[in-house]
Amino acid sequence: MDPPDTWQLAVGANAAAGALPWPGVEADEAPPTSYWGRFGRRFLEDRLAVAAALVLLAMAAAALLAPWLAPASATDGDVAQRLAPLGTAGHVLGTDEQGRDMLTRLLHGARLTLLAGLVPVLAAGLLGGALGMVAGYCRGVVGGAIMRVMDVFYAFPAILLAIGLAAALGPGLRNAIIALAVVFIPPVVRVAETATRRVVVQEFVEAARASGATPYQILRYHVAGNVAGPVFVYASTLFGVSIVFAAGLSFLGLGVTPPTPEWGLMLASLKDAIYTNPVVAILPGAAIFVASVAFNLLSDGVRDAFDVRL
Amino acid sequence: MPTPPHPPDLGRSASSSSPPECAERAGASPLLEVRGLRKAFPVRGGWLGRARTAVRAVDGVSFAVEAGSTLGLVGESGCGKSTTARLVLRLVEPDDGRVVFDGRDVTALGGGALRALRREMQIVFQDPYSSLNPQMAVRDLIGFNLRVHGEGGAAVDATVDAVLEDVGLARGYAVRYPHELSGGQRQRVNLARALVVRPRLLVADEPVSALDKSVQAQVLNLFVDLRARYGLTTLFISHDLNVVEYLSDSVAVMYLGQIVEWGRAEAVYAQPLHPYTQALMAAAPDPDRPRGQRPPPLAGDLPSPLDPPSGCRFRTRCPHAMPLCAEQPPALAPQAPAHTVACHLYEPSAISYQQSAAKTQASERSRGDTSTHAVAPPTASRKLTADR
Repeated sequence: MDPPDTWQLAVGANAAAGALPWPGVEADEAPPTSYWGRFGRRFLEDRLAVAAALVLLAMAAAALLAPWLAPASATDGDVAQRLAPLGTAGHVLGTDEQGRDMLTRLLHGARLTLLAGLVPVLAAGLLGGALGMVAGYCRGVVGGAIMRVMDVFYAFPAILLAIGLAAALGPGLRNAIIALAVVFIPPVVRVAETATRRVVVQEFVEAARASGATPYQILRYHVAGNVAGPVFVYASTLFGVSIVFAAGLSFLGLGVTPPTPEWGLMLASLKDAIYTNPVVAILPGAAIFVASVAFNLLSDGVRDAFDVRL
Repeated sequence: MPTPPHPPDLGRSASSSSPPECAERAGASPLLEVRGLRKAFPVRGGWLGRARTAVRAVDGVSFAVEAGSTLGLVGESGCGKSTTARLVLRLVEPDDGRVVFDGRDVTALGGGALRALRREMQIVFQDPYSSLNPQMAVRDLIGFNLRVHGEGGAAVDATVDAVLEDVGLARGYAVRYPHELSGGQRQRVNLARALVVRPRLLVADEPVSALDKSVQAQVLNLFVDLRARYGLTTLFISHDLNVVEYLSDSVAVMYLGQIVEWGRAEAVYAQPLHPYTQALMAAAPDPDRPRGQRPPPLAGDLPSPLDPPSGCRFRTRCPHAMPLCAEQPPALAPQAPAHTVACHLYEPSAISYQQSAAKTQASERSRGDTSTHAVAPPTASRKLTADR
């Protein structure tokens, strides 16, 4: 069509008829309808994230099925066969410094290790995210109080704080997880608070207030979705840290107690074998590495899939 | 057009602090009435972030909007238009003054009652980008406004689809996300979000300023169409005089947090009284006016609202400023039917003041010619150089 005249007419006619402003943009074929449908499609397009998800799923399955998959006992070793190399008959991944089968211990260790990596991060992400959103939305006295309390936690080195808390709560994996969650909350609060402050100044939050929404509704429906991305990405980087910290607590006798297999503890007790049998000594560390890299890749993929703009 | 000041009306003297007489048609009750609204934003700094000073964004604004009519609020950027809009809807808490909506004092309402009332007063924001939550589909964005008022289920989606059609968006747009829409489409969604609750008052804060000229026309036409269909009373804020003239029944001109002129649109546009309004009108591009005949633009910048000029705030840029202007702020006073202005040039008391002041201060003052300015109508004295 020739631009000027037709266009002018089209504007007037369409405005009056309430039709589309430009013909031809008749809201083409409807895109996949549900939010989760779109989420799934975007996630599946990210090959790396899908691979990472499969690796983590395999690890989780191995952890769950450890008693059935494991070829030997996790706690009883054969003293005659200490630090056997990879490929030894009966011990595919060799044995540790007490002659226990490494494959068995890695499979069993996955249970506590994944728990120690995931639970503190989840707890800190949820609690810290919520606290940060409240602090960022309320500002003033409430927000200031929350942030200053977090600053107090910041004043201690993280690992020292974790040791102190775990020591105060007493040994055991449960207490170690609680201590780690508390240690991870302040930085998550800070990330969430910053993200919230950036969101609440936008006009859509003001529009929600103008709609008559309560602060809870605004946080729940308008702020949370926009803060979840940064918090998610930050929290996922804590997964590896959490495993290593948990290992440190176990090493100090504040987390998992020795005969129980746990990757961090295994790494710590095998460190003396690093010169005699480096390959076996490195195995628990490699497992931690693979798990945390897979977790980070997965969280990147999930974050991107959450973002409707990509 | 040059006109002499109106005959003095001593009964409505400028010194009265009561809200100015409504410039609207007599007898009709206003749906929205704003009286002496004030808001200052503290500027933090110095020792322990104490408030050092304050930006007086809105400083004693009063106006009324008759049911079913449109008030256009015009002024330069930074004059407090948007703050006024937010004060009216109580998105910003006023320091002083009252907002009366349909006989209810909005400024006195508490949480729940205020939230319920919000259903009747909606706003369309200026920025089509930051005013839509990027994480929500169009259907949820619009439906949210109904859901917060306790509606739910399939009825919400049906209402949303109907409103989408009203704003000229096909049903397929309901599942789109804001980033998939153009600026004009986003403003249509914003309009739909405001209209879905069937408000009585719509505050439009520069709704088309961020759009292309061609899209502006579409959205404005849509606005006019919907205003009639939904029976809206509108407070339309803009810096675009042409847009306001096109849309408004009455016009209020703001300068540095205060209203300087307010009246029926025809009257204000035909015969702007305040020197600022005259300057604004003269600055608006007019293709019919030959190049050589353009009046000189206003000199100087908008003074800082941190430290507004004493007396009349426009005096630092006014070509007719006189000593009285620095001493006394002019009050908004009616000068013609449905036309009020806040300017000493139109006050009989100012003239007598000038004359007595001229007698006593003539020896000390070098600005001897200001008293002649005072009695001359602004346009007549335009040829003279302002002595500033």
